[in-house]
Amino acid sequence: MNGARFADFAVHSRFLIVVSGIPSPVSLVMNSRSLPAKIALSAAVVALLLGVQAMLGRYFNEYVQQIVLYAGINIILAVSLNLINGITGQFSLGHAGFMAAGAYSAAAFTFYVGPQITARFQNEAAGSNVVFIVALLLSAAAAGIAGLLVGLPSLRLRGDYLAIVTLGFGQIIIVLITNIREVGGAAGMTGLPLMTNFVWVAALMVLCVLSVRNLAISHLGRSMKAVREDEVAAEAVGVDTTRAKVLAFVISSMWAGVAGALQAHYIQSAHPGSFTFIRSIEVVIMVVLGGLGSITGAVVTAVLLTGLTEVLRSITGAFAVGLSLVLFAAVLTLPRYRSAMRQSAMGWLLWLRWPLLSGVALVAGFVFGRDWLEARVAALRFVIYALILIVLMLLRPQGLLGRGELSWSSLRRSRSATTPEAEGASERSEPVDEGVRGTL
Amino acid sequence: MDITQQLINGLTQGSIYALIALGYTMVYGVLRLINFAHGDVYMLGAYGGFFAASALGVTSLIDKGGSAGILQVAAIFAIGMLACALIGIFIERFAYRPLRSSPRLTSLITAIGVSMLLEFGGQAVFTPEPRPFPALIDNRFLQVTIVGTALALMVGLQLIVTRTRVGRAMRAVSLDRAAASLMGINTDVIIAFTFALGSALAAAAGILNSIYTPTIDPLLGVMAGLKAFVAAVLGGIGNIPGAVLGGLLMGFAETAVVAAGYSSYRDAVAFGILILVLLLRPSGLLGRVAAEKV
Repeated sequence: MNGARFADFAVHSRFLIVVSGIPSPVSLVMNSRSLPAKIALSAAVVALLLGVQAMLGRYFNEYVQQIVLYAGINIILAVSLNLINGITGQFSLGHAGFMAAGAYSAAAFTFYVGPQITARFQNEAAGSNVVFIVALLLSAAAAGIAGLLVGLPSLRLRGDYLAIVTLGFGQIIIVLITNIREVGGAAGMTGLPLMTNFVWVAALMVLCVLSVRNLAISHLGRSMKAVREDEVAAEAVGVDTTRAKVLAFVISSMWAGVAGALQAHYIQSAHPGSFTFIRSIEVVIMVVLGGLGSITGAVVTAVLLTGLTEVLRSITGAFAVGLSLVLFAAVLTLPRYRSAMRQSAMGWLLWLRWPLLSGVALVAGFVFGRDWLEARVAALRFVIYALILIVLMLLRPQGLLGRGELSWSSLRRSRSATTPEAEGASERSEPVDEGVRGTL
Repeated sequence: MDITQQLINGLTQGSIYALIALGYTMVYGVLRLINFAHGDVYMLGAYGGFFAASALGVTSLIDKGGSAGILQVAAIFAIGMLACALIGIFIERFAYRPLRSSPRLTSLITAIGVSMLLEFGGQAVFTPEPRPFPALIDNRFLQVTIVGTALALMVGLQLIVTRTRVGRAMRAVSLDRAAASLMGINTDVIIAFTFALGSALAAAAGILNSIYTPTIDPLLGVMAGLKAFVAAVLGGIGNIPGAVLGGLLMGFAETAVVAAGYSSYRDAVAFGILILVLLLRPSGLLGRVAAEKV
């Protein structure tokens, strides 16, 4: 039960209780039924975004703006992948492929057709916005079709096989793109117009999170969750599992395509190398770390991992992240040794042997091998990602939030009331570590 | 190039895939786990061979001839295979064994993590730059040697699996782990042995391929591993002769595509085959069709 306890700890820490008196802005929008109210609220949101953008441009340098934008794009990616991997319980390793489909179709449109459309407008900004809207729709459509093609085999495949097939599809999309000369082939496309800005990313991010959240609690979303829990049982009680699975793939890849288009029109280029398997894995890590099935978890970890990418550019950052990982692992293993610790002081040693060993190794590496590590900091980033993934799977496979959501109402909830869903999740996926048991 | 030469190329490439595929299929047989890290063990095998060669002072073509050269090459293979067998046991012990009773998805994600760790750990330790691999075998009989070595290893594996006690135990574990354990088989040891065996074969394949290519880099296992996995699925995963058949077919298919002038589609071939197999005959060519129990 350490899972539920940890969630309790996260939810009831003092800081969050202070915040929880404020009504949720999301619920304000969602609960207002009348159309004028919705329009007014949406206008207010856009005005707010424009204000934030002006502020970002004025008070923060380009580096910070870039991180904020990447965080937004990563949120779209993580939340959309969560629809397949978390809510529907399938496993896709091809998210970067869908991104590529969206990025390239949008890029081709803005590059080849865009200038002609912009020329017809008096106002250049208006023209470019119209072009971008069409490009975004196109990217969603292209990626959605790709998602449909991948969703179809998912009807027959489960678990690890599906993972490999989606990986394969992602790879095939990249190979196909590399062979189209019009979009630059292996060299990629450069010279795209800069169209993505904070307002676009933030608005689409909010739209993505809201749409996935609303989908998850809708009839279709419940079908998807039924497929996740037990596909055969769902089928038996009349859930249209085919529809649920295929739609999950289509909707998820549409958002991935949009994220790809946003990215391509921010860095003003599209390159096959930025949509490889590793990119898919990055998104998978976000979803798994946040907790498969938790939308807020995906949002939090998308921001976290975007920040981590920057932190891991320096060796000091890598060291700090490494130490935090060791601490995290130590905290997670604590409950297993609690009874041993009560019996004797040896219990403490048992608990701390791995954290101490790895901590000492880290410090030694940092002190004596600094120059050596400095030269390898690029590879080190992915080594740390890999370690995060392994430690997480070994110690807390349900992720940080499990299937629970970090919501405004959950912050107010009393300590005893954990959602039955989160409870069940942590119970089911509780790791049984035979090795540890044997030593006790 | 004439068609005979293309067939020989396909056979060479195919026997390397087959050796890697054997590791996938054996691990899947005993654990029902796709060992994503297997391709990277193959990479480590290539590096093991590289370092063994430089430690023994073998830097270029063996022109001395005679038994000394052959012994040196044999030693390089032995060192690489032994090192990878140990790495395989290590991976199983620390990454997969603690998760044996967890959902399969958890093990799969761990396997992806281990694979990433080896790839980028490899980049950190060996640097990402490709290195030239010493030409251990004369070019004139390079392909014959590769096919011959692979064949010898496969026959050896077949003998271990069918004729020895440990092989019988492996088959028992693959059939029903719980029952095998009740019959007094130490399943942990057998699973570790399976990892060691598969990793050693992958190392041999890694060294053979590096002599053939002849450069190595830390990411060489990614594509090779995925293709060998496809080969294992094509033959029927969990089935040892199937892995060999699938590997050879993959080698021929890929060579055919390259020979037809579509070498840029080379990497798509494997996944195209995979998708077709999974849609048309998910149990593979030689695999048994298993009814799904509810």
